[in-house]
Amino acid sequence: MAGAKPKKEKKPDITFFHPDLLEVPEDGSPPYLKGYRCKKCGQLDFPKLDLCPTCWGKEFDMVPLSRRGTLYSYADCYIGQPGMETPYIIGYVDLPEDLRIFAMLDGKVESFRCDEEVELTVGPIRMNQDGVPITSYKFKKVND
Amino acid sequence: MKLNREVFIAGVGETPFRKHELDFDALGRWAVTQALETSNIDRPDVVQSAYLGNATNGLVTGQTLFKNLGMLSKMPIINVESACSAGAMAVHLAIKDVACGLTEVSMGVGAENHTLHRQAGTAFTPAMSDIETVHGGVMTGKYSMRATRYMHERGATIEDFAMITVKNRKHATHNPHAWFKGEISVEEVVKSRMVAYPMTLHQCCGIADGAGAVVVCSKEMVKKLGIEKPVRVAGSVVTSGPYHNRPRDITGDDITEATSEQLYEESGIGPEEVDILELHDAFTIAELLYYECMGLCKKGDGLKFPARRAVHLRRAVRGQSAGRHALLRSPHRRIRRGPDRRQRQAAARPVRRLPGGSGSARGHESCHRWRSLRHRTRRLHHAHAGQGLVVGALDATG
Repeated sequence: MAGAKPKKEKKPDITFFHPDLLEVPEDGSPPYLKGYRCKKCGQLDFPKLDLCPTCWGKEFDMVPLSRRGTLYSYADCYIGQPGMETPYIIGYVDLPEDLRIFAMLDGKVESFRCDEEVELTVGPIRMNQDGVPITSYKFKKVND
Repeated sequence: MKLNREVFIAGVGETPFRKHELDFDALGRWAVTQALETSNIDRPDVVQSAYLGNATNGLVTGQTLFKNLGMLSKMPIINVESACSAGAMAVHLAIKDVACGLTEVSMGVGAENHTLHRQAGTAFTPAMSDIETVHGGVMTGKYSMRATRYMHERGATIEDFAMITVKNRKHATHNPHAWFKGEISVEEVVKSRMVAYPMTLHQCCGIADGAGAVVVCSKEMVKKLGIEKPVRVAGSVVTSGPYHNRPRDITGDDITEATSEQLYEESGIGPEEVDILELHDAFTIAELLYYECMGLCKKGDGLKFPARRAVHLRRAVRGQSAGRHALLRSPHRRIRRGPDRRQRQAAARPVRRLPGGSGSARGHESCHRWRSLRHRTRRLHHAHAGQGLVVGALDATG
């Protein structure tokens, strides 16, 4: 139709979550989570926050976080979010930096235990709106 | 919230909780008209403000609900969203209006129809802007993590959790509005479909449709409306939950602990004096945690508490709201207070009755009048949702 505006191209959905949280180095060295230390008061947080919740400092230094932590608790989920394949496993991982990370766990259901050591890995967590997997941080058993 | 002046519950209304063909607004009108009727309100310009708690049914839900009751443009209608505690939050705001002297009569309403609008067989999540949600976070899984840690630290078993369902279904038997009620065995609960280990289907609250409404008013209005047996609100506390990104104990709940403590202090009613508790047990593990957080038993004694309660079940106050909330009566209290034990046992056989003396058997547990031999009944209502919480203490006079 003459004069009609060209249809706006739909922006592709994300396939990586999220550069502020996870670094996957191009040189093949191991991935790491990104902590943020407040330049004003020194508090370390993950994920990145708009303001330091303690002193409202606005500037942070990025600190690579430990790749290994302790699995505080976990759940084998058989009923999940709409559109997500089940079962999947979620867990809380406590890092030595006094931070707790909520993440999906890579492994089999009924295989994890509280207080076991787990390590960071990278893998698909869900499909995006275009049906392409989104890559993010996950944890797995050490040496698995 | 310290109440600036006395606030009373004039009347309540409630629909049964189950799958409904009626949408949220029709369910809401069902509860609202009942609440107005039991409050002896017979014209559209008496209520001065209304709050509607609704989480998933769209925009301007309150205005839609009240559209043909003749009350629009006569009062502000404010919509409240707070997931599971939306309705309780609405009641809190109505209490606040009257307590502050902004209004003489206000309404708090909760109305929701889930099943007409959501995909069956999926779990609830916060918004997708939440990092945990992106990584598969669901409420069922999060409470299961609490349960798994509780098992790890305390040696609890899945049967311990299942006992809570058995008790609550029994308590719900005589509640005409409860969905899940009656006999169920521990084995049936354990063997029901696994939702997120160790929470099986019968340990998770059903996704139900329904509505409840509460009319609150000042002391003066109690007289004007001719409310024979008003219920005094002894206190109401809401807080937002703290931000968590560090290791912490999830076999407790900081929000419930903080608000309960504040309420006990502000109302002058301690946990040992509560006769009836309506506790938000969306999952069996939640109830187990809250026993300790609300001071019903000592820290570390939570696991022993339900077993003890089951022993006393025959004497416990029966009934439950919608088959998803526990109703407790502190058995140790009756035992400890010897002199009037007989009277207290008699009090544990309440006859449900709506305020205003309609004699109908309909109504919400927490807002309901209980006719008992005891002169005063102290009731506590608890609601919890993600980052928010409401605790209200109701003190029945008369």
